[in-house]
Amino acid sequence: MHRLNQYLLCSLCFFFSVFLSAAEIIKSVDKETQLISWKLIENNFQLELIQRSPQQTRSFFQARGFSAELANDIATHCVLQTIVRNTEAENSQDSISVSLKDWRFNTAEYAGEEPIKLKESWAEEWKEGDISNAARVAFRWATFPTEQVFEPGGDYNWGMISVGPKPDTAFHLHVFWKQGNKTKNAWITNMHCPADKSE
Amino acid sequence: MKSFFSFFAVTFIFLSINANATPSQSLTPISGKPQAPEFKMMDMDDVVHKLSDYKGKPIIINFWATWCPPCRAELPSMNRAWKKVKDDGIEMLAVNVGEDEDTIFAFSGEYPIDFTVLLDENGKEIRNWPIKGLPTTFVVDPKGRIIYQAVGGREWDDDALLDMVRKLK
Repeated sequence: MHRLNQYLLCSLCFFFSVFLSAAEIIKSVDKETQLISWKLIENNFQLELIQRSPQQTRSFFQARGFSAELANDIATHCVLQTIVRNTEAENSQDSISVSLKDWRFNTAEYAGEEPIKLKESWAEEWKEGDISNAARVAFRWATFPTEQVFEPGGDYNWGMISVGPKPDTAFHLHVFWKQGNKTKNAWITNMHCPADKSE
Repeated sequence: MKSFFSFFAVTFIFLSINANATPSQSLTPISGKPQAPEFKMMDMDDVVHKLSDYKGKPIIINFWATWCPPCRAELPSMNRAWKKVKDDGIEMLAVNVGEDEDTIFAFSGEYPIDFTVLLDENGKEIRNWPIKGLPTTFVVDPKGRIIYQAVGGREWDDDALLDMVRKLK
């Protein structure tokens, strides 16, 4: 009986440790704004993606010196507020690294995977444009870095990413990250770019 | 059997708590302790500050912007930290990235900042530092070397963090 108990205990501990470390995606809706957020948790990796309405993004960039046309261009590329956090305590050696170059999305119209639009692509488009330095600085620092490492002990970052689809489009997002040397990925399905209510 | 279930329940509760625990905070040591880049920036009273002016003291240098939510979240704790360390021979500098004096002045009505705010209005100085996002904070030792960094906000009035800085004196 004693041996059976030990066996059961080991099996249950294993089951629950696997259960607790599996990727979990929580979807929630902000009662006030009706904007949706998706939170992915896997071991010490925590990713939160929050819808930004096109109006919100348009106002943000216009207030920082972008023309109405360029602010609208950014705002209609499905911008998500993105938060990445390494939740591991200080004594662990596991860093988390994220490269947005690896992230892909697909929509109902196009089943293949497309890369998301990186800040470098925007900068390339605006190379010759008449954009103030203040606007460029705001864009650079308000958007999520293309590549970043998050060490244990409280590292996190916030920033906007522009996925690409037009407003009011459903899509699935394939996210990648590294925990130590191990590459991990997850699909966040049935995401949605908010409609542009100013249209 | 009863003891088995008691033990199992304790194990499960421990694992559940551990999975949802708030992470403890720390500063990341920078390997090689590189020399911090020299800078020259104005404060809110148009006084020019250079990093070399602070040689001989540990410095906490925070890069931030008013529109950045985690920057706003950590500023009150930075201000409390300043009250704790200002008489310990430790300096604190808040380098605002990309905004003008009027914007910062209006912001400081809501978020008082009692330590020195420097203006990197055109974003030139921040390019010399190893920064990917805001806020990022560095701890520079009395010899001008970068010893620690914190990516994202921290509760800066936590003595566990401040003791790491005090030890550099």
